[in-house]
Amino acid sequence: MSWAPIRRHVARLGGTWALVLASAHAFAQEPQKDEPPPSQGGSSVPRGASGAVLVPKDDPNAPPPKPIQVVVTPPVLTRDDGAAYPAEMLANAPRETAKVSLLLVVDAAGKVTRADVEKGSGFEPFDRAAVEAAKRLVFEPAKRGGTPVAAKVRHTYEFAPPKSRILGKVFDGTSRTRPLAQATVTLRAADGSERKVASGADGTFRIDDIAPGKYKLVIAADGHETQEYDEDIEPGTERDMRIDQKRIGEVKTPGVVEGPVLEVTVKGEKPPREVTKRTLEQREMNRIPGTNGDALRSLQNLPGVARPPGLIGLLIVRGSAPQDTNVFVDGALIPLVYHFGGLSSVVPTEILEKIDFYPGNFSAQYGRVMGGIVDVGVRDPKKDGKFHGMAQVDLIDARFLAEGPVFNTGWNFALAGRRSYVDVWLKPVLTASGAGVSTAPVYYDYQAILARDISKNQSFRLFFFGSDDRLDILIKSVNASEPGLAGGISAHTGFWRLQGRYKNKFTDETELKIMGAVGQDFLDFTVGDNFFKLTTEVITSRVELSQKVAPGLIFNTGLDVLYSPYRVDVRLPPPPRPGEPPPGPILSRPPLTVGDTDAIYRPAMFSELEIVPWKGGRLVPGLRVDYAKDTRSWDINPRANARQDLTTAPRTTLKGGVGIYSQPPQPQETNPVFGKIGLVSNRAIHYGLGVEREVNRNIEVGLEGFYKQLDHLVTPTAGNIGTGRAFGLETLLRYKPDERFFGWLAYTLSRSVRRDSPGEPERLARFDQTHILTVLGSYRLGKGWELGARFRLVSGSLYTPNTYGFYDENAGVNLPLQQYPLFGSRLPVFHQLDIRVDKSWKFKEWRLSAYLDVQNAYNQGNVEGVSYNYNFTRSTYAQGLPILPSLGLRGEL
Amino acid sequence: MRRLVQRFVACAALVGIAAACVADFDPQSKIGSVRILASRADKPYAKPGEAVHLEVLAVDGRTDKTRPMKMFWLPFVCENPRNDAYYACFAPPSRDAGAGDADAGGAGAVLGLLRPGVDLTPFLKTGPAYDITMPKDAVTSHAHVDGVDGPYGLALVFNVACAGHLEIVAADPSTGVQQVPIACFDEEENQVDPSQYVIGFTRVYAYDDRLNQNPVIDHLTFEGNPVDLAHGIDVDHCTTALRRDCPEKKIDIAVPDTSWELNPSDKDTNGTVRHEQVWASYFSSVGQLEGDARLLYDPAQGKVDGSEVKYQPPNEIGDGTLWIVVHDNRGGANWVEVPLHVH
Repeated sequence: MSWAPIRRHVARLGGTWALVLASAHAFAQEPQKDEPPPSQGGSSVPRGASGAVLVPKDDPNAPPPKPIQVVVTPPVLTRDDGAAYPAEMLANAPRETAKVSLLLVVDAAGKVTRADVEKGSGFEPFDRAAVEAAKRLVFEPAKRGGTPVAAKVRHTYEFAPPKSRILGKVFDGTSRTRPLAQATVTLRAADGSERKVASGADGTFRIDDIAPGKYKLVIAADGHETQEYDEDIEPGTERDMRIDQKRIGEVKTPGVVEGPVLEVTVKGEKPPREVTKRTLEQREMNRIPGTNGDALRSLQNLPGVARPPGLIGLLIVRGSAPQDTNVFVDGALIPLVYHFGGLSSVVPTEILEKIDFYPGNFSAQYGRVMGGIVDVGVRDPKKDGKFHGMAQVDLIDARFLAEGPVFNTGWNFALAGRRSYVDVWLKPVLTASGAGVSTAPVYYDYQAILARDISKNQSFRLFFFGSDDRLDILIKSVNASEPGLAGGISAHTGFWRLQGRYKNKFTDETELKIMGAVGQDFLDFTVGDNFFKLTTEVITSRVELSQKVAPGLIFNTGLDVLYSPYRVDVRLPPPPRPGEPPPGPILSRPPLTVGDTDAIYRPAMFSELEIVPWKGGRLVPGLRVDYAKDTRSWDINPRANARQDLTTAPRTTLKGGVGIYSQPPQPQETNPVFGKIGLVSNRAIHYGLGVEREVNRNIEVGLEGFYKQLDHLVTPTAGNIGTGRAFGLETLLRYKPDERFFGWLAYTLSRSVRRDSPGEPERLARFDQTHILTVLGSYRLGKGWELGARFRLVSGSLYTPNTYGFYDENAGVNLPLQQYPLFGSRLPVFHQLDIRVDKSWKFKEWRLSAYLDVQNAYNQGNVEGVSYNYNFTRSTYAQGLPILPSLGLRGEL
Repeated sequence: MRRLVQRFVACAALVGIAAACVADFDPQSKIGSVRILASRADKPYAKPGEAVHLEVLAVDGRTDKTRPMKMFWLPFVCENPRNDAYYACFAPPSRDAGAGDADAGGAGAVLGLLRPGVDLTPFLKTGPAYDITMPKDAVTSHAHVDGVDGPYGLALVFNVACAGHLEIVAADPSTGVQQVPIACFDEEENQVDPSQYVIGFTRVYAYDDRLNQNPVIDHLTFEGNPVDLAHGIDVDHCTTALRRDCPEKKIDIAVPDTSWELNPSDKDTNGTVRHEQVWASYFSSVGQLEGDARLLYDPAQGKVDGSEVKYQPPNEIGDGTLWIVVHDNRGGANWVEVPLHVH
């Protein structure tokens, strides 16, 4: 959006010389660079009536001047282009007025040779803007006795926030397709004054230079009902409205949108409730090299997120276990994040608006985990009354998206789907290797959205989405180290959700959000004669009410309920004791069998205050209370976060937080067969302290330390006897997307350790990674070309070295001696460069784009594991993927 | 359950990596060192108090056999070790733990009381067979395990194939609970390398009311023709320079359907009792086998087609041996040993 800045300045020259500086005495006595020093000889320094020091252009060869009464005229401003209201203040600050007083040196030619801030505004952008503007001022120089001389003057700029504007489009009736021309749009101020414009042929209108205040917007057109809206215009904002001008006699159709349905108000974002909230925007999600444009894979490039080993798609946040981080889609918990092998996530980027990632110290609205939170925001279908489509194919999957209006109902829809075709090439490969293949690995996911803005302040959306991964093969070749991994191997993981979301902003002070979702989760796998089959019905609901109680005080409260009946059938070998290797191959012990039907019921309520006690400060104390029916225990989690702006432009913020985070045990951990009854929740205390600075609109830098103290950790089959710590430092230097570039440098230094029981030594946590460095960027070269690169340098993953041990004569396999403690050794450092090239072509009605995403561009043989020979006397590193180009093609309407 | 999901996905991915990046090691089927290939109990499931006869199939594939390989049996039966873990047989008992408790020590813990360097050889029985008696309290003394289909007991017997003599060694702190208190030494008191010794163990499960029979080997075929097990297999040597160009010969073992027993503890989600899993492992002293083992019967899908292995004879003329061991997934085993004549 472009702003026509309203420039206002006042150059106060104070009559003629009222503001000429008395303090210029010293200036007059100092030799100036471009001018000869004042003549010596005991004469007094000439002064104007106001005391200004006037320095004549003296002839060095002339005799010393006689002390005479000199006529002095001050500099006269002849050109002033004004000073623009600083963009960063417009974006980030509350658009206040500001005044900057400058001390200018005007030379004998009338040019400003120097501008110093005499009295600043307290905001560096204002001061900078004033100085820059002052350098462009042109004066008629001061004169002494008719001779131009240099002088100092005081000059003041006053900045006022730009005025606001309203623009929009009027439609004929409720069709949302026919623009209405010549509608009269009247903006009536509280004092009764009016401004009128008419909508153009395309239905658009625009009213600029609107002073802040309360207005009534009236839209009238022949043959149509007149509509009125109350508008509270804030300074420096723009409203973009879509108005359905109902015809006289037109029957109101249920579901038809009346009134403006889209309002965009430009204002600085409210600071987050959390200590750290990292948001990825669409362009970043789409373009990060090495991710194939996959949104959730892009998360793995943020500070605090470890690189998952090999082809595993896991989110490992600040040294936590993967199951310690929850992923929500618009507030609904999903059980899976990635399809098989982490190739892509279960929700495609195309339907996402943004991803909010909270690596720790998250708000009381989230709970039941002690790691991090990922909240994926799904976008609404486009509301421009047109149909849009997208189709994409690459080497892994194909996807489509269609969206548009649902006839003239006011509803808009989006429909999307994706299917992999890994099975097309993998099935022949598996068959050639001797495996019988019924279903080669295949995944698909689907999404359907139906949304409607009920009114200006209310919206409703239905979202149906799901994912399905499956394979079914017969392994005829028996694994030398694990005979039980032969025979029929099948896996089916999937879920679906039907989600409804209602939002109502009753007033500027009161907002209500309600989300409810129902669905099912599936997890079946069979390996030989072992199986695990779980079907879960899921009912979740989240209600949040936000009430502005007083200026600077917002009260948020809500409910978060999870009810999940499930049926599980399991036949698996008994788990080994904590910290010990398995007692043999999976067939070496009589398996455990469980068939159970039960329900997980976990209601919670949370409350939080957002307090702005003083300018630039923000305190967020909160409390969350959870109940877990499976453990019959309550968790009371107090949390507090605080922020304080140290400087405002550029903004520098000191932030910190402390809070308790409880995570109920996993269902299998409380199962009397596979786990232990009587468990309570795992607990973590998060401490966070950091500083962030917005260098300018695009560049921000942050440094944050974290410490997580873990206790009551569930040690499987033993109880809540584990403890641990995770601590580290995260830095992020980020260039936020502009029309050309985005990128960041992220570095995390961390350590995560666990102690399985009080007597045990502390060990490194399974996914501990000491150093994680990610540098990435993407640049639009022009003519549809975009080039990006990502480089990662990460400590190696942990592994357990094996050596020659025993021979299991029943199973016919060698059993290694595992080095203790388990996962106590580290693989070599991982480093990889990924490159992505995009090219797009614009046509009249559609756009075509192609991309080449090259992972591991310099073919680094990164180590992902260790391979052993049959009796563990020889070993070699198992390398990860070699250079892997992926080509994609996308068409968009 | 998310942890289970993630573990499953992780395992699948790791298996994928392992499959994709298998190093060029000698296969398990190539016999070139001291090896134990299998053991066989005449009663894979024994009743408490029953006598059980154990046999072991140990081979010496070394070219230099100046120190002959011997088969030693450790003179104790490890009854119901903690968590059924073989390594717990050598663990000292924890305080306050009683017999059958989860923290009970193993009978082999007594070895830890001996001074390192003690030569055990004079006290050990040698030979390919060993007899034990399943302890009468094998079932009753086993700690109750929720989720297991019926009470059971476990007896573990350890044996060592060693080209030398056995001595007590000090505990190795780097291997945690998996202590190996014995090692094989040569006459100069040097511990021999893994090519000259194997420490093995065999499990015999005890049930009051359940039986298991060893798989029956009906016959062996070579290129589709039955093999006379006494005479063995005649095959022409490979004449090509490259191994991959050598002709492949099909070898298959026939196990009758009647040997594919029902496994009462394996029921599907409908409660239907399924059968055992049966597979065959192949070993040869000359030539090369493709794959180490082949599945013969799947618990759900039954007899597996295409269970044969491919054999490539060596370039050298001479005699060797082919061993085929058939296992079931309940501790049953059987084997045949077939001469290979490479012409």
